[in-house]
Amino acid sequence: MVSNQKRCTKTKKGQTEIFGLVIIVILVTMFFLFGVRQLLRAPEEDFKQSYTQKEVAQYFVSTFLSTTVAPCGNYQVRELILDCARNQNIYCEYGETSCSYLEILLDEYLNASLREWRKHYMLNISVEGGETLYYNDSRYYNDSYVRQFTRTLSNGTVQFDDRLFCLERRQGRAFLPMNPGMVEVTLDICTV
Amino acid sequence: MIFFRLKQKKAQIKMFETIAVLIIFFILLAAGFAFYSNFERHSIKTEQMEQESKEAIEIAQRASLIPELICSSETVTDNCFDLYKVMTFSEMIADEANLNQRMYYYYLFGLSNITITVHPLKNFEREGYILNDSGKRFSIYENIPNTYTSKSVLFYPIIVYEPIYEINHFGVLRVEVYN
Repeated sequence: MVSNQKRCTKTKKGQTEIFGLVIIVILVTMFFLFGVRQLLRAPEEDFKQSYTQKEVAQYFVSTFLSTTVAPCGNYQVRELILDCARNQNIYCEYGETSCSYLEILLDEYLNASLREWRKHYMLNISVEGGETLYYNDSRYYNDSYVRQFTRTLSNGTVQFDDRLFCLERRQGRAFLPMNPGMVEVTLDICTV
Repeated sequence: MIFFRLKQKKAQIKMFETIAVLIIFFILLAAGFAFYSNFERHSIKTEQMEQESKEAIEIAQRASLIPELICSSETVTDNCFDLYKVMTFSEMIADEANLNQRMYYYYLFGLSNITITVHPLKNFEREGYILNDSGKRFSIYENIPNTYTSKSVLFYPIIVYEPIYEINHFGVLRVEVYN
């Protein structure tokens, strides 16, 4: 009788311990699943940034190309670019050629927009398979970008890393037919 | 007597053990709950920010598409604003007597501040041109609350068309949305 009672108490104790163990296993599994879910979750992209950067890139290119340049005889910027790529027949105020005035213009409009908004950009205007008519990126006006995207090589020299400079980009693009060939205008707005 | 004391001590140790296990259990539970709620709070905040961003983009799109401001053309011209419409609209919205109109635009733009800046070339002056300074700002809509928790700012390059002289200026549409 005593032995039976002892066995019964022992079984009850065993059941309680198993119950405790089950609770611990459930809790550990829950923590594990929650951790895995957080790890597997895709990195959240800044919705506003990705959307607006794409629009800004495209709008900048289309706006810039359609802008009228009154000091160059009311030609649009697209015509100035084509003239710069061909034979530079258009002359602007103070005897500037289309190519040199293009630089003044772009400096003006970049200052009023992308540079003022602290955007990280690369703007390239080039003849298809040929020379570059204009190139500018944000490192030319902000030294901190240069520091941010440099890496030190094993021999101690510091080198600018182009890959780090524009990891993720939103692009605005336009093609200007030239006959023969074409001029390509590309603006990359990069996410840092 | 000794046997009784020994049993009592054993029971005390058992009880202490049980209490310790319970304390550790509850500490772990509380830590887990704190961790989880922190994560949830973060995701709710992210969702809220995303919602605010969407609202800001919506307002910016509404502003860039209203017929009161965009260029009148037979073909669809993207991101083009008529300078004279912008000037007239800006004057109308600034006039506090036009309460009905201001109310109408409140339903469209809510708590926001919308401006258009026109950037003609520096040092460019020509007789007859309205714009001869280095940049002119027009207020399209202004309803800034006294207190707000967050502010989203959007910029878009736009064409500002001057129909009389058939000139396209480089402009910037700036939309600030308050929450």
